[in-house]
Amino acid sequence: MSFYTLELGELEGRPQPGQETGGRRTFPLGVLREKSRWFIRMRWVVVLSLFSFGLFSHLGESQLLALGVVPGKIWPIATAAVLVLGNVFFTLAVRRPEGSLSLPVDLCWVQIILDMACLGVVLHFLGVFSFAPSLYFLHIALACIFFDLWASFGVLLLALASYFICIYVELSGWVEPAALMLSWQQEARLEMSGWSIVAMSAGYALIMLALWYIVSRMSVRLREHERSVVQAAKKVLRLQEDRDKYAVQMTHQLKAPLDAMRSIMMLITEGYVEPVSAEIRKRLLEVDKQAEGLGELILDVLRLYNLQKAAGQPIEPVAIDLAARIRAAAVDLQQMADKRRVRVHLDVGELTVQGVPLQIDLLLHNLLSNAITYSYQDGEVRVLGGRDDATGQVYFEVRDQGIGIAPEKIPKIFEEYYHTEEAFKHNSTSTGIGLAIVKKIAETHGLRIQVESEVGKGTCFRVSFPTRLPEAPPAHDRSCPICE
Amino acid sequence: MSKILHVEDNAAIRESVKLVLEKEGHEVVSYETAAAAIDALPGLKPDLAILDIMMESMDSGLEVNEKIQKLQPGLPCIFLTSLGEEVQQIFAGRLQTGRILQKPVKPETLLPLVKKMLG
Repeated sequence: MSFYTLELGELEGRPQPGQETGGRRTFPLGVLREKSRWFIRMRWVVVLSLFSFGLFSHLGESQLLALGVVPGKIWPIATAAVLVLGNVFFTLAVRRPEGSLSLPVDLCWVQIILDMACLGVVLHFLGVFSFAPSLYFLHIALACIFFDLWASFGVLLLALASYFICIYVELSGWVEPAALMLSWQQEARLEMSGWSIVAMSAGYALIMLALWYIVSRMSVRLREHERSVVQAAKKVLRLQEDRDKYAVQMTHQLKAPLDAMRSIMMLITEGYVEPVSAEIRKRLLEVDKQAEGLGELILDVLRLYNLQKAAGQPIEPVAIDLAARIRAAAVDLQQMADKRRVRVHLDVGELTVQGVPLQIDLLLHNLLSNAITYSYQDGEVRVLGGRDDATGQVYFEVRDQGIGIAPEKIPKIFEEYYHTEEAFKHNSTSTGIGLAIVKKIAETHGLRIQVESEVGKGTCFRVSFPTRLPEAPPAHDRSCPICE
Repeated sequence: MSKILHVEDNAAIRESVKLVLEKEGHEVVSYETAAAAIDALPGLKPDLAILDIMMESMDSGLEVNEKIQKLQPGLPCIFLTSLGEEVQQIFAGRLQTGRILQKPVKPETLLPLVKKMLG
């Protein structure tokens, strides 16, 4: 005796046993690695700026002084050099394979600490009591965007520490106060009252705290929204794949028993088993006809589903020999035409069009089979093809001498499951989907379909191909571009 | 007398194809599942294979054909399907060799094709 335990799938949105339901979320390693690379690239811009200032301080000192700017001959270049060394190290580290410790996380923090230290130096030389502390704002905002809540709070604390250390070392006299502008330098040498210093530093600290709070909250909301969008997109793709598979399987499951029934009836009617009376044979053929119609309906539903699904996708057209396709459709339908005693005449020159071969075949098959189906016995169907002199467009016409369509009903014949009363009387097994399929194919290919008909005299369908295929709507890519 | 391997999970269709082909003088070896056919392949040496495409899995018939082609490269093959031309889209690339017939298969369609493929 064999034993099997049914494995159940995970239900969407329901936390599974052992799974965290809240708390910190960290980014995937690949994302952190990409963020590290971004910081490295930004740092090169800072290096270039510092180096340029340092160089200009050497080459154009007098010009700078004339502008009231304090030249920086050593500190910008020294700071740039430290950042360059850091960037080289980080670049090499980022290229290391995945799984080296928790490298991307450590790497980000090492970069942040280095940045804060260098920013402290820059802040000192630009002027602690000038606009310079606002440089921290960018780092705090970036941290809120790229890191989670508590990591960004860590960056805020580092920024505040860097700022207050800078103030402390200046006020305690360890270093001389400095500033970028000469006028600021003079002001810095004036004693600022303790309350002024406290007020200014507290003000900057509060702004940093407020900035962190606002931007981090917005980032958390944005990330949650992004995650739910990604999950929804994945779910939609999964459902679409399931639906496609279901459509094929359901079509097969519905049609297989019909095929079996028709096979058995064929054995009886074709004399492969015991002979039956002519009456029984006739009834079986009627049953077979109905079963055939049902089988076609099932396949037409699948065809229409596939066309509707493909309508949102860009097509990959190829050159199609239209005359050959028309001839192939006529050969396929020859048996049907012979049964109904309908003659099919083809008069199609060598014509090439652009399209999806399977869809064009389906369009031809549907139009030609309709023409044969709705012809009277001993009638004629003519298929003409050529190039319109006025427009240069390739076209073909399928013209029958059959039951025709009343003018007020012509627009409706392309609706799904529609057939006129006259058509139903003539052919009760019609699926009513054939022309809906033709319409879908026409929409995909930008075809122009014109219908001319007279009740009791016949119908002509004229299909013109565009000189250029229509632009496809934005592709609904089966891969998920926003899914990690 | 030609030997024809036929793999089809539906009993009625299996029987009808067998009757039609045997009346023409062919020897028909039928299997209900792809697995049974694959197990029997090494000793079989058929002249033609007629395979239902979708059996216990969506592509069982194609798996049988791929195994057959490894054992007997170039063996002619006819695929039967309840689906229409859509099967070519679904299994594009795996149906390069062989001919496809839509079920139910009529004698006037099957017999000339079998004759042609047996050469």
